[in-house]
Amino acid sequence: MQDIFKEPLPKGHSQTVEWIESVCNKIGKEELAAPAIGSVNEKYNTALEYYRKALSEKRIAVLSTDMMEIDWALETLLDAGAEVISVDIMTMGRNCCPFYSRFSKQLNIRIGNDIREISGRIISEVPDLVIGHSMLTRGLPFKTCIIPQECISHKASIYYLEYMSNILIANEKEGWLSWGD
Amino acid sequence: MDARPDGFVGAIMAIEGIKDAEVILHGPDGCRKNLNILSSKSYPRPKENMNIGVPFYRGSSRIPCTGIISTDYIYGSYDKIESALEFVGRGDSEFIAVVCSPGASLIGDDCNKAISVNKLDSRAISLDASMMSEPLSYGIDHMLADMVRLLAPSDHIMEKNTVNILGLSVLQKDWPTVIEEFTEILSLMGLKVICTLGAGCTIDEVKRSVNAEYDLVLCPEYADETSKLYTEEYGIKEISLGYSPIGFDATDALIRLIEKITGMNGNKALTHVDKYRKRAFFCMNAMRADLKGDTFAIDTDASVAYPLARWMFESLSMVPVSIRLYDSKYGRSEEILREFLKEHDLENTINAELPEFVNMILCDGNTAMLEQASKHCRKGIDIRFPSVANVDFRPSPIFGAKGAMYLLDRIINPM
Repeated sequence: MQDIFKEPLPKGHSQTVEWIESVCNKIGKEELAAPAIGSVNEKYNTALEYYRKALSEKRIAVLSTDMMEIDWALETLLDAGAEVISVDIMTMGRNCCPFYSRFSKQLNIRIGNDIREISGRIISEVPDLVIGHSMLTRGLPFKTCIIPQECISHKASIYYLEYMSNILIANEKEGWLSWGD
Repeated sequence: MDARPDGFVGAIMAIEGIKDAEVILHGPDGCRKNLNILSSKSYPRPKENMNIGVPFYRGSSRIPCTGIISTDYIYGSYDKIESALEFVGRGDSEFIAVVCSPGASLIGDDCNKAISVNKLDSRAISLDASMMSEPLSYGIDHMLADMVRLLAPSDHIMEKNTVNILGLSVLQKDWPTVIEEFTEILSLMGLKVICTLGAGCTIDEVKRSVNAEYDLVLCPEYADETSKLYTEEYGIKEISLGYSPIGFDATDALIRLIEKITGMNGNKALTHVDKYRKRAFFCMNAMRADLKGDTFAIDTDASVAYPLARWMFESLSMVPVSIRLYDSKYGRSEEILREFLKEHDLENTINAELPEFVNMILCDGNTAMLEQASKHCRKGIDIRFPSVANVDFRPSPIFGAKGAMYLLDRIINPM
């Protein structure tokens, strides 16, 4: 077996499109790229159209760590028409690479390590939804959802659209939490 | 193709759910196979009653059959039904229902005459074949109402603080546990059950049922006509939420309704529910379960779908994507369900097609197994008949506090 492609698997929609082009070039079958990308785009755009109803113009705050790659999730949010009001990144000890996002110029990305200060800022911004690491978002008085670990391909973006849309519909506090009262 | 059971199956199972009643199938032997298996699975009788070599039973414990053959369709088969009634009528059964298979009903044998000739008018009826085009729930309800009309004594004396449990059948998931729990709940409130109509009761209990003070309706689609009959003819007061007691809150609500209508104290019954609720809380914490935003689909009767969807939405923060309803002539539960879904902007989920993937599907046991095996869902949960692959060794109802524990066990645990 020949090792044809050493790049990591693509995260989210746009990386998937680039990845298909690269793989097709590498194996010398450029003509296969267009139909494959067409199919990916069709599925992604259909999902965007459906879930835009729930996500468009929603004020979203992001609270994650510098150890996570979140661009694929930010891309999905922006494509769905959500308003990403802030991106807070917690620094988690020594990290060999500084946090990087291709949305640095477009979005208000803040790096810090004081969770109380970050939480205070998010509370004052009153978002509709906070997405990020569950350990960080847990105490916030808003609807929250995680950024899933499963992020490979455009299907992860489609799943994430459905998941965020469901979180906005779902009951904010699970009733079972009061069963012990 | 709709593979859901119809009113014909319902009517037969209504009778098969009575301990000392029996159905005679006037039709070919092949038509009996499924019904025999269904009856034996839903309400098993001891193996020694296999009736090997016994005429009309021919090796099966249930549903004696006239075994009509091709020439009977030309020359008629009245003699066979008359002989079958004569033979079965000599047995222990207190009540007999004659049912013609769809093909046999075209022959037009006079089953009522066969009943009269055998002097069985007071304990046998002939079932109308038109039930095939009716919903399952109607078949059960209508058959039981007809039976009560036939068997009820002309005079009745109301027995204070007594209850009939209606809307159950042997097709209801783990019906013996449902009866056990609700008999306990009623007993904790000082009320005594006379008859669990259509679910393991005897003919004697059916006759006594007209003396009850109250009817407790657990599944309204299955007791609409029967409950009206008891109220109008015998003055029995109906206790019904308009939907089934699924989840802790709905069970609490039913207990409070019983309290309100009967004037009895429900505190002990509420404590019974609370004991299970606290155990559920302990288990939920142990699992650190987070189902928020997970999707679910339901395929069942509206009176079950409404409390189930509401419970999963409110208690587990899950989101419905498809709620498909069984046909029914009782519309109230569907109305309540639609109001609830509209309130949350989810009315498009009613009768919506199943998406390519959904986290959980709650439906009949057979479909649940297929959907999970084909990876259309993470978990297929058996909430109703038909479920031929499993037998419930552990209590597995969906009604009451015990039902909530079964549902949580299936929703939360990976296996």
